[in-house]
Amino acid sequence: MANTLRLYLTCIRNTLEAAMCLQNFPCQEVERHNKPEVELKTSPELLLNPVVICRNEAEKCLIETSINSLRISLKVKQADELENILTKKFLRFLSMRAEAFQVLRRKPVQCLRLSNVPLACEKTLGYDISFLITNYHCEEMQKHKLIDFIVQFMEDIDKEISELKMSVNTRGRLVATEFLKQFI
Amino acid sequence: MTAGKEVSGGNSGHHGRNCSGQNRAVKKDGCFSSLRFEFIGTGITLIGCRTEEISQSKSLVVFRTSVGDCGFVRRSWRSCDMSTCLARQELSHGVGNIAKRHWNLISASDPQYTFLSISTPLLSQGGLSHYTIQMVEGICSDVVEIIEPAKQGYQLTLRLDFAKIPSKKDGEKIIAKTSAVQAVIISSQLKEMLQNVNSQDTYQGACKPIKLVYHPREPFFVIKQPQKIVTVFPMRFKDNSDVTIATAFFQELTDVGSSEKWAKAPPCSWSPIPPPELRGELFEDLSTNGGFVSFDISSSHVEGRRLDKTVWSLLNFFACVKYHVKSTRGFIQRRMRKRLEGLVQVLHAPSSEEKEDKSKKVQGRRFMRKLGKLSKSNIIRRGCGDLSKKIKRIRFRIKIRGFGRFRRRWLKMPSFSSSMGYAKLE
Repeated sequence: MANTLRLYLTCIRNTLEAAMCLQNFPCQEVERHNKPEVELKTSPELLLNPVVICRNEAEKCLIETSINSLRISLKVKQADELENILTKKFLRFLSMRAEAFQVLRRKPVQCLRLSNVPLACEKTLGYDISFLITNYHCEEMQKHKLIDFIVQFMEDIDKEISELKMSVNTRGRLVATEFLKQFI
Repeated sequence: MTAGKEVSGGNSGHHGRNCSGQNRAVKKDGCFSSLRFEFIGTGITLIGCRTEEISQSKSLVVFRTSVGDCGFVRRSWRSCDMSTCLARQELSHGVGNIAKRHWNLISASDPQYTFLSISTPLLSQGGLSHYTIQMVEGICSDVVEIIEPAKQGYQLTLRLDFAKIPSKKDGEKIIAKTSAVQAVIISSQLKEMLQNVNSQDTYQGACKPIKLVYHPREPFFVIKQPQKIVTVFPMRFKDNSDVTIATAFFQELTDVGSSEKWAKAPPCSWSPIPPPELRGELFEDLSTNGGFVSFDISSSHVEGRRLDKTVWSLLNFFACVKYHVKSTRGFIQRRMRKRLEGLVQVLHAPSSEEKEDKSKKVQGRRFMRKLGKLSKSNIIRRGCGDLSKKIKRIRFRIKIRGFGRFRRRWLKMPSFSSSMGYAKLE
């Protein structure tokens, strides 16, 4: 299990190192504007091919690159209903405080439109959290540091969700024990 | 028994306030029901919690239970403002079950006494049992007196004597007990049923589920079976995340209850669908999103002092679950906040290379500081040396050959050695 995670993270790290070659590029359509091209996607010549790295059916990472920006979207594993709500709550909590992270996007990216997937299913196929890194971030911060942060974030999220689930179950067990003590 | 006064929505003359706006803004809260009494003059005023929509002709006052709680809204009614015609206030609150529970509070011409009539679904035919009546009498025999026969349409009528309520802490206790008379009735009925868990008597509808409503909108069912009594709690929650947290709790409860260590505890089970014993009940009572939790109570769980604890645990199961869900949500929120700080620190923490650079720079500064210090001391020394040479020239004007060497070697002035160990070159 740990080996697959290591391989997954190593693959993401190598891809990010190759993709994070960003430079300043003013908007071609609007004068004196400078926009992250990966968000607008108006000029195909400025976009690179998106890369999807899948660990399994439940976990994947989408890396979309352009000339001046890079977007990383993550899908976190959710084994049961409790992990599902814990993940949603936690990632929504972080997204609402995106300014603290600077590179975090407030809303996760929905999945790419696929022709063979019905529209109703697309919403459930979306990602859980997204990062947007621009050339300005690369100028202010170090590239290897950003990559380390992304990889560390992925590890920490998995760990935190597991710990939260364990804590909730432990609390439930303690409360159940105390409740049943009344009958003895 | 005199009738009470009608209170209009526009001007409630009995307390001299125009409370129509206030009353219309307040919604009916059909949750707990209880009374707290205070009467002005003797330090007690009548306290009500919420009011229903008030029409022009009458007002419906809904009182709120505070069994175990201390929150209530205060409204003081002055007896001197009451009009000559006494109004009759019919207190009712629908709790969504088959039979509505009615309270009737009437203030008689004598302000000292107030009559309280209670109508509640009975668990057995023939009215309230002797045990229940004893429990009600045990509240406070000086203040509360049971009037027989009860008012028509009601199972129990109490006469409350406010003058005999003591002041301060004892009075508050009696008021709290009096306001919890509904809880006393239900708990005594359940206690009586649990005491007879092993009885062979079968009365009509023994196998039929009996619906108990301790908290409004949260009914639970009691089913009498041979050698045991089954209590079934339909669980409902507002939020999907509450449902998930509660379901995890019920699974833990089931796991703990089925372990060998807790063999003495009543067997507990959870199912997402209604158990077969509840077939035939109303759809609104069986529609839940949290499933059904069942406890099998046997005679071993109601022996001696365990009876009170068992009754208390069963009546407050809903409250226990809701409190656990609420505190778990708070715990998750606290944990997330703490983790956020840790994640942000990772982003802003300096890398190991930066740390080394910083430490090197610090050494360099120290070195530069040391050089600065040395240069100053050198300057001072040079100044002293020049001064000493001048003094020597003045003193030693007569030149003797060879004496210079002798003087330099033996008559040299002592010099302070530097920490760096530099030797001055001549």
